[in-house]
Amino acid sequence: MMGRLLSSLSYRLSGTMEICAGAALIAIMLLTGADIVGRVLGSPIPGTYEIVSFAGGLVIGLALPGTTRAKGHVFTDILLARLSGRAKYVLAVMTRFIGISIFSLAGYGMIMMGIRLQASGEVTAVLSLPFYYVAYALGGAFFVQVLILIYEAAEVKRSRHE
Amino acid sequence: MNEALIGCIGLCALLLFFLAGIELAFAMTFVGFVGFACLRSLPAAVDLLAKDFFDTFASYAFVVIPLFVLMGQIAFNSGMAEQMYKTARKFTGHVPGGLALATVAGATVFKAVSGSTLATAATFSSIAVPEMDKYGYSRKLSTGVVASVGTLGILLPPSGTLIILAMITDQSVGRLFLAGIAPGLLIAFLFFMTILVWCGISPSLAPRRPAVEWKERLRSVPHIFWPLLVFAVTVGGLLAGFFTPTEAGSVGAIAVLALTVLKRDLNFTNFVKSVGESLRLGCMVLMLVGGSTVLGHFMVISQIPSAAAGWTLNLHVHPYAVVAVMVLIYLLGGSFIDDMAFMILATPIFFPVAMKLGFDPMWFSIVIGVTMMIGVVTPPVAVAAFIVKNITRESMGVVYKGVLPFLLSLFLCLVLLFLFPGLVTYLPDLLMR
Repeated sequence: MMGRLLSSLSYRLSGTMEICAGAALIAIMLLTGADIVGRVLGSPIPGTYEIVSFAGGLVIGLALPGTTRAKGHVFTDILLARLSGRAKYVLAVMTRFIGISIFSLAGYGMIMMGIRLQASGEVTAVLSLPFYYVAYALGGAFFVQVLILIYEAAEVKRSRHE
Repeated sequence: MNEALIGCIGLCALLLFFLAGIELAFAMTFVGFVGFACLRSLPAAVDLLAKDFFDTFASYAFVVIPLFVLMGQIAFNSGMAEQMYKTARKFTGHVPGGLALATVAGATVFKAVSGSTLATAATFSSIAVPEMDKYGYSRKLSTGVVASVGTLGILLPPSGTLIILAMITDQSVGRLFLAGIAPGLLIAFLFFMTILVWCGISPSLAPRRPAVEWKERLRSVPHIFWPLLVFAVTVGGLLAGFFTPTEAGSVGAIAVLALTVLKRDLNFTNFVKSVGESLRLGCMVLMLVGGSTVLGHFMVISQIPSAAAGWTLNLHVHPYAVVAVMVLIYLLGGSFIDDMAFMILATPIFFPVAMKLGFDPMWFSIVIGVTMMIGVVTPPVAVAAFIVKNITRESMGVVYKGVLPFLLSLFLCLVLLFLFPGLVTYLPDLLMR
C-alpha cells in the first residue's frame, strides 16, 4: 500500500515537473529568439538575461527527479555485477542512502539560502526579480529527488523479498 | 590530519563509491561535501552545496547545454541524417569504398546540426549499414566506419563536449569551436584516406556500385544546403560575436525546428521526445558539472591541484611527456567511467597542471577532445561500438576489428597535434584575436 502510494506520488510529481521543465526550455528558446529579433529591430526585450538564467535553473532542477527515475545519470555496475545477491542488496541500499543524505542536505541548504535571500530582499538588476523564488524551487526539486531515491531504495528492498 | 592527505583519501573514496554503483554526479557531490565539512565545518559545507548547485543550475552560460542538445535531438528525430547520407552517397557511391566515404561525409555534415556522438553513431548504424550490406560491403568496414564517425561530434562545432570543456576551464566557447575545426576536418580526411587505402589493399571489402548521373546528384544538394545554412548562421553568428553561446543554441534549435516542420519531417510526438531527451541529457551533464564544482572546491582547499602542479614541475621531464601521461590517464579513466563524465571529473585537476607547464588552453582542450574520441571506440567501455553492435546485431569482435584502422587515424591526429600545435591555435588566433 505504502509502496504503491510512493510509486504513484513520485511518478506524478516527477512527470509534472518534467512537463514544466520542458515548457521552460521551449520558453527560453523562444524568448532568446525574440530578443535577437528585437535587438536587430532596435528594441531588445529587457531582462532576457535574467529570465533565461532563472528559467535555466528551473529547467535543470525540475528535470532532476525525472532524470533520476529514468536512470539517466552516469553510473557503472562493474563491481555490482560481480557481487552475490546479499552484497549487491546492501550496496544498492547504501548508495541510495548516500543519495538521500546528499539531496536532503542540498534541499535544506537551498531553502535556507532562499530564506536569507528573501530576508535581504535581493533582486535582479533589470526586472527586480527576487532570487529566492529560484532557491525555493530548487530546494523543492531536491526534496522530490529525495522522494524518488526513497522509492528506489524501497524498490530494492521489495525486489529482494520477492 | 594533513589537508592533501584528506584530499587523497577523498579521491580514493570517490573511486570506491563509483565502483559501488552510485551515480558519479552524486558521488562527486558527496565526497566534495564530506571533505569540505572535514576541512572547514558542516554549516560551511551545507552552504557550499546550495551555492554551487544554485550557481550551476541558474547560470545563463550553462543554459547553452540543453539548447544545443535540443537542436541535435530535433535533427536526430527528424531523419535529417538520412537525407544527408543519401546526398553524399550520390557523389561518392561509385568510387572504391564509396558508401563508407559517404558515411564519413554525411556524418561530417550532420555534425553541423547535431553535437551528439552517440546519436550520430546510432543514426548511421541504422541508415548506412543496411545500404552497405545491400552492396556486399564487409561488415568489418561498415560497422567500423559507423562506430568511428560518431566521434567527429566531439571536435566539430557545435560540440557539446567542447562547450562543457570551455565552461569548466573558463575559456571562450567560440574560440574553442574554432580550435576544433581544423583537427576535426583533419580526422575526417584521415578517415577518408583510411577507407581508400584499406579498400585499395582489399578491394573485396567494398564492391563498386554504378555512378549516379550528375543531374540527380545536383538535385539532391538542397538536402545538405539548408542544414549547412543553419550551421553557418548559428556558429558563424557566435564566432562573429553577434550571438552569445546561449543565443546561438536558441537560434540553432529554432532554425532546425522551423526547417524540419516546414519540410514536414518532424511530428509532435518526435518533438516531445526531443524535448524530453534534451532535458534528461542536459540534466545529466549539469548534475556532473554541479558535482564536479563541489568536488573542485574541496580539491582546492585540500591543495591537491597546486601540489600536483608543483610536483610535476619538479619532475624535470619534458612537458609533452607529462601531457602524454595525462592522455593515458584519461584513456584509462574513460575505460571504466563514461568518457564525458571522466573528463568533467579529471579536467579541473589536470588543467591547472597543464597551464603551469605553459601549454595553450585551447591546445590542451583539443588534445583531451581527441583522447575522448579514442576513448569512445576503445574497449572495455566503447559506447559507440556498443551502440553499433546492438543496432547491427554484429559481434563485438567484428566491430572492434573494423574500428582498429580508424583508431590508428585518431592516434595519428594526436601525434600531429603534439608535433604541430598550430593546427589548433592558428584559426582562433587568426579570426578571434
